[in-house]
Amino acid sequence: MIDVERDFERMQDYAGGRLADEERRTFEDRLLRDPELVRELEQTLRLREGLEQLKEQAYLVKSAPRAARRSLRWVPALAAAALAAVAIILWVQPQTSATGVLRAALAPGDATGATVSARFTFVSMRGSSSYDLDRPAAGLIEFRASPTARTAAARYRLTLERVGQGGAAEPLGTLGGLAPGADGYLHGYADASRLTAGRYLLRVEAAGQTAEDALAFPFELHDR
Amino acid sequence: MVGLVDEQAAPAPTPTNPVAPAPVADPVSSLSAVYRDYPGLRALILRRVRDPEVAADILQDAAVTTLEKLRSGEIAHPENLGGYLYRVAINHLRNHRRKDRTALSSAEQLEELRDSVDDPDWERVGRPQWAAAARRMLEEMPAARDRELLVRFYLNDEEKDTICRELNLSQEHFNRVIFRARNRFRELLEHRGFGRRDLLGDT
Repeated sequence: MIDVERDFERMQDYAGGRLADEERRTFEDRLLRDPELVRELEQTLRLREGLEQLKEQAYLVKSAPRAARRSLRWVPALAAAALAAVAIILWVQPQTSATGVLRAALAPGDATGATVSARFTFVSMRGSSSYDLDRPAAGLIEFRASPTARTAAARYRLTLERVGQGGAAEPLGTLGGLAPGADGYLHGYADASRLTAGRYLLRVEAAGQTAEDALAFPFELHDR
Repeated sequence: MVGLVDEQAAPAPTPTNPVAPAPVADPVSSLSAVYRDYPGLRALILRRVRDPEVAADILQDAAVTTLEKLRSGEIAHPENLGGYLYRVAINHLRNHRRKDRTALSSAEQLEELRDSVDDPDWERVGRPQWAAAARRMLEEMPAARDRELLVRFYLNDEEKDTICRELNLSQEHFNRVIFRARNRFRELLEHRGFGRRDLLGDT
């Protein structure tokens, strides 16, 4: 018999080797007697492995911890001031606005005929790794970012930055006044031909919150 | 997949304890069925040790131990062999981790691990479908917060209390999300209703 309140947690702790000896023995005794618990544990491990695979496919890309965000604080003051000016303009606009390489949506019958050739999905996760992603030769790259509870708001700003040698970040495009789609993600599109191989940062900032609370997703684009 | 060949093994001894359960008639096939039915266990061990050969050794050792116990009639519930295999394999894993704490350090090792989990046995047990089902399950969840909850709980190994506090969730909401997600994941795997795009991914 599965105890929803506690067994999901115990299964995770057991698989992760975090149960104290006595708890572990009790749980293992139950495993020997309860086939349903074994099935549920097996299900847990399959779900976990499925998520691991998604992570490897760069479907789930880690956000940088706040420490990493702070490491970019020394970005030249001029660039910061320019970004702030853009931010102020975006903040007062109720509609979605776009600057630079990012655009908010694919227009029906897109005049350029461009189609999405790669989709990168960013979900906040613990860890500090940057992800290696393949840059398609042509078409659009779709960036999907999941805003978190920490950044919960009705409107967001999505900023794509190019990180140069030495860590200086240069804004390439910004979408302001962005609302999550029906799938809960923020969507932004960029023409692949306008992004060269190199290091990037996708930032999600909620309206009314400070830049310190922004999510930052570092990644590196490689040519296929 | 780790196989088990034990056709020349000695016949099972008669248990001396009169209250012990009788040995099962065909332990080799029973154990093969357990392997087939519990690929999640293999995935866990491979992820933990990050070395396909070590993972295979751990599973093999667990299988042999389980088989010996089964033969001698020491397993009280032979119909639930999976539980016993889990216990032995996790114990072997724990012993291995005590002895060898070397971490995966090079890109080559990581590539080797990825290659190793790309073998035909994995496809037979439906491993590609696990990722597809997880993806579909996440995409069907309307709230970003719920998706984050799942990733943090199952992938990041974060504690329930921490997640609830940081996401401002009640324990009841947490349980509900986990319960529904697991049910949906199971449903998707059982129906195997995936298109080509689901299985190949689109990144």
